Amino acid sequence: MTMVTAVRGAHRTTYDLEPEHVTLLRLCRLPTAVADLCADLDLPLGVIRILLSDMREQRLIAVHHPVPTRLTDPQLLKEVADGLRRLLSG
Amino acid sequence: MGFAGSYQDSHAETVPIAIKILIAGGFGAGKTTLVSALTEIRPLRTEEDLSEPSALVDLTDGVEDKTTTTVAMDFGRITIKDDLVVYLFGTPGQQRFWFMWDELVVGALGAVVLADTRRLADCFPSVDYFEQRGTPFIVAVNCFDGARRFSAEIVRSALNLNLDVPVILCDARQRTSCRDALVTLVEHAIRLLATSPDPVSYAR
Repeated sequence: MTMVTAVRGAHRTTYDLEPEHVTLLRLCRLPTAVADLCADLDLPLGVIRILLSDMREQRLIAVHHPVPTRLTDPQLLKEVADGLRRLLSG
Repeated sequence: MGFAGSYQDSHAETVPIAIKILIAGGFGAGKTTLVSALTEIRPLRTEEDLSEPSALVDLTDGVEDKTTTTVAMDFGRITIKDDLVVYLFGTPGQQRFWFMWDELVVGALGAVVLADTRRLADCFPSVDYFEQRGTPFIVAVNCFDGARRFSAEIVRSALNLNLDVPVILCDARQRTSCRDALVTLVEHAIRLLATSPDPVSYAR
């Protein structure tokens, strides 16, 4: 799960961007999963990827790669199980 | 320049931990129903008709032979807390889309394989796939109306599953039933962590 974040101050340089770029910037002010952006813009992953790679080149966004080793933490998994039980009890 | 400084600043934000769970099973086994029952606010994302713009991306990725395929994938989200989010990915059931699985499975916590007892053989490929990859998975038998009820043990035996793979009965239309399937998977993954000295299957 790759996450992206808008670089602080990036919104000031939006004059030469396409509308989709601007929307993406707005959506990823906080770290946001690329999959979520696909759902929000209703665009296929392939399209989102190319838009994001443009923006990364221009240093408008930072890309955070997943840290898979975190899933070896039983405490984290326990938190997930407890959270699912709590949230979806209704 | 100042811009570079800002770029560094963005790393100070807390990046949420994203937990990926796959929902697999044969065509029509209830994957979409299950994801719909659990996802919070987002509409389901159905990805289809990889079009001209994505063809460009696929070319750069060296997967140009896949540009003409039509792909359907369900996507759901459950926010546990601000910095911990579970993502559900319904895997494409059709075998010709299996190239997507290899990407989906990387870093996944595990998979729920939905089984339809009327067409049990449809979930064989999913079971084989996760067994071979060493991905934690459980089998959830979707109890359709009108379908003959089988016990979990009969399904386990029919699928030739190891004794440590949980098999549960579920109703994909019911939220609590779907939740139980996810919780069963997460607890299974925790047990595997405790028993396996080598957590390599998670790291891949």
